[in-house]
Amino acid sequence: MGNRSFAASDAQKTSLITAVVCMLLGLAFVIMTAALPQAAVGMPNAPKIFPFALGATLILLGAGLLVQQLAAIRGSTEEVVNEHKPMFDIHSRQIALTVVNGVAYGLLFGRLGYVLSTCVFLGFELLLFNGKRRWKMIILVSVIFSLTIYILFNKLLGVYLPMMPVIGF
Amino acid sequence: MESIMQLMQGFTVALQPMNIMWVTIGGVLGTIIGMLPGLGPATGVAVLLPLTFSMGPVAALITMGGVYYGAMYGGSRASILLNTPGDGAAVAATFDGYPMTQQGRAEAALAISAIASFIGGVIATGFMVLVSVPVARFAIRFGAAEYFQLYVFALAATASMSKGNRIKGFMAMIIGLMIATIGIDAQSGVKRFTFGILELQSGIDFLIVIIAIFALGEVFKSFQNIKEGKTHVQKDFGRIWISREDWKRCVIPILRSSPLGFFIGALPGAGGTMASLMAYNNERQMSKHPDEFGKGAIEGLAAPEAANNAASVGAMIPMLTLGIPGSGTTAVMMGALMILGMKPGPLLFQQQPVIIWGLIASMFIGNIILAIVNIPLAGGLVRVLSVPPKILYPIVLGLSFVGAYAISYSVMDFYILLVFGVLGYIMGKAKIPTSPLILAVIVGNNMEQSFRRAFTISDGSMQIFFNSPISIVLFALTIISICFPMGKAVFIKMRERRQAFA
Repeated sequence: MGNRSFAASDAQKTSLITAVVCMLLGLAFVIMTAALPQAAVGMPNAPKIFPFALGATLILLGAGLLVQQLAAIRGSTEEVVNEHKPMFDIHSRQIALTVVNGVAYGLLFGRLGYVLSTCVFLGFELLLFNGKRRWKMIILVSVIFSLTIYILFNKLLGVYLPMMPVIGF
Repeated sequence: MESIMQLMQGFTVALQPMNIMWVTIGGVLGTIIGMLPGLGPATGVAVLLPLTFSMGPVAALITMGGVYYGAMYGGSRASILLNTPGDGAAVAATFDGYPMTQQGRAEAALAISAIASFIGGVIATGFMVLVSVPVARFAIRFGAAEYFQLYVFALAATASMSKGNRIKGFMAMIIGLMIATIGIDAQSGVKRFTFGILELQSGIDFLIVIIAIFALGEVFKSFQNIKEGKTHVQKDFGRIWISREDWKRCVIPILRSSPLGFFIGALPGAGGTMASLMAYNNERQMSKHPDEFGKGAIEGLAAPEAANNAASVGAMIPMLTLGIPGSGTTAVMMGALMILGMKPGPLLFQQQPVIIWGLIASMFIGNIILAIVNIPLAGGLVRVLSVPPKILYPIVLGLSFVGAYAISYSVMDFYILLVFGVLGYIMGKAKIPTSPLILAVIVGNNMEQSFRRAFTISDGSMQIFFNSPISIVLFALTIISICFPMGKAVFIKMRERRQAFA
C-alpha cells in the first residue's frame, strides 16, 4: 500500500465511534441478559431469548457499520477537509446546564410546589437562552407561565400539580 | 353501507357544540406549536396531551385530532412565511411557498395551502371510511405468529426507509426494542434491566420517550441553530384568497396528490415527509412549465400540502386497525388512545364504534374548522412567529415537563425525560434516525409477547412463523423492504460506474 495514508472525514469518525459504542452497548446488554434470573414458570429461559437476540443483533450491526466505514475510508482517494470543530463547545455547556437545571427541578418540584419550582426552572432556562440583560422579561414570562399552567391544570383540567407548602397554592 | 351509517352516527357525536369547541381550541393551540421551527404535529400532540386527561375519550380524541391538524397547518404557515418548516412534512411547502411570499403573494400561498390541505384531508378521510373496516376484518384473522411478522415488517420498513445510513436506522430500531424490554416481564414476572429502581419496574412509558426525543431533543438542538435578532414576519395581509386562474392550475394537482398521499401515509414507515416530497416531484415532472417550480409555482405548494394532509389520515389506518403507528404523530395518538384505556387493533372497530367513528367524523369537521380559522385569522395567528424562539423554546421545555408529570404523577419521569432528551440529541449528532427507535419502543412489548406466545404454541419450533400464507407474505415483504433500497443503491452505483467508463 506504500505511503498512502488513510484519513477519515469528521462524519466517518463519528460513524466509527457510533459503531464501537453500539457494539459495546450490545455486549453489555448480552452480559446483563445472561445475568437475569430464570423464570419460575414456563420455559426457564423465556424472558432471556428476546433481549439476547437484541444484544447480539446490535453487536452485528455495530460490526457491520465498522466494516462499512473502514472500507469507505480505505476506498476514498479524495483529500479530506476537516473543520476541526471542538467536540465540546458552548452549546454542550448549555445542554449540560439544562440537564442540571432539570434535575434540580425534579428535586425541588415536590418540596416547593409547582408554581415556585417552575418559576425557578423556567427563569434559569430563559436566562440560558437570553442572558442577564433581559431579566424583567425573564421574571414576567416565568411567573405568568407557571401561574397559567397551574390554574389551567388544577382548576380547569383536574390534573393536580403539587401545591406550595404552608401557603397551599 | 354499514360504514356510512356508522360515520353518520360519528357526525352526531362530533357535531356536539362542546366537541366543536374542543376541536377548535386544539386546532389553534396546535397551530401555534406547529409554527415553531423543529416542532411538528408529533411534538404538539405529545406536549398538549395532558390537556385531555380529564376529558371523556371522545372529546379527548377529537381535541388531539384538532391539535394534529392544527400543527400541520402551523408547520406550513412557518414554511411559507419564514422558510422554517416545523417538521419534515412541511419542508416541501418551503420550495414554492416561500418564493411566493418573497414575491408578495403570501395571501395566495396561505389560502392555497389551507384549501389544498382541506381537500386532501377530506378525500383521504373518504378513503378511510371505505378501507378501515375491511382491513380490520382481515386483521382479525391474525394470530400471534402473524402479528410478530407484521411488527417485524413495520419496523424493518421504517428502519430501511429512514434517511441516511441504513445500518444506523436498524441500530435505532434495536435500541428502541431494548428500551421496551425494561420492566417486569409480563409473562414470567422476572424484573429486567430495572437496576433496582422501583419506578422502572412498570417499564418506560413511550410517551415520555416521545416527548423527550421530539421536544427536548429539539430544544437542545436549538441552542445551536437559534437565530440572533428578530425575525421579520409579514403580519398584515390583503384578502387571503386565490384567483380563479390559480385555482385552475391547482385543482388537478390537488386531486392527484391526495390519493397518493393517502396511500403513502398508510404504509408503515413512510409518512407525510415522503408523501409531500413525492407529490412535489410528481407534479414537477408532469407540469407543462417545470422551470417555474421552486420559483413560486402555486401548484408546487398545493400538491405537497394536499398529499401531506392526506398522508396524515392514511397513517391512522394501520394505527387504528392493526395497532401499528405509521408515523411519529400517530404513535403519540396511539399513546393517547391507550391512556384512555383503548387498545388499538382490529377489535377496536367492534368494541368502540362510537369513539372511532366520532374520531373519523371529527377529522372532516377539524379540516373544515381549521380552514375557516386559518384563512381569515392567518394575520393574527402568524403574530406568534414574531415572538422570539428564545422565549418559546424554554416554554416548550416547561410544557414538556408538566406533560411528563401529568402522565404518571411521578417526578422520576423528569429524569427519564432528561436521559432520553440527551439520547435524542446525541442520535441527531451521530446521524442516527429517531423514528425507528420510537416505533420500536411502542411496539416492542407486543412484539416480544407475540413472539413468545407463538413460540409456546409451537412448543419451541420456529416453523410456526412460516406456517400460514399471511406470515409468509409478511416475511417476504420484510425481505423486500430491506433488500429493495440496497438493490437500488447498488444499481445506481453500477450505472454511475458504467457511465464513468463510457
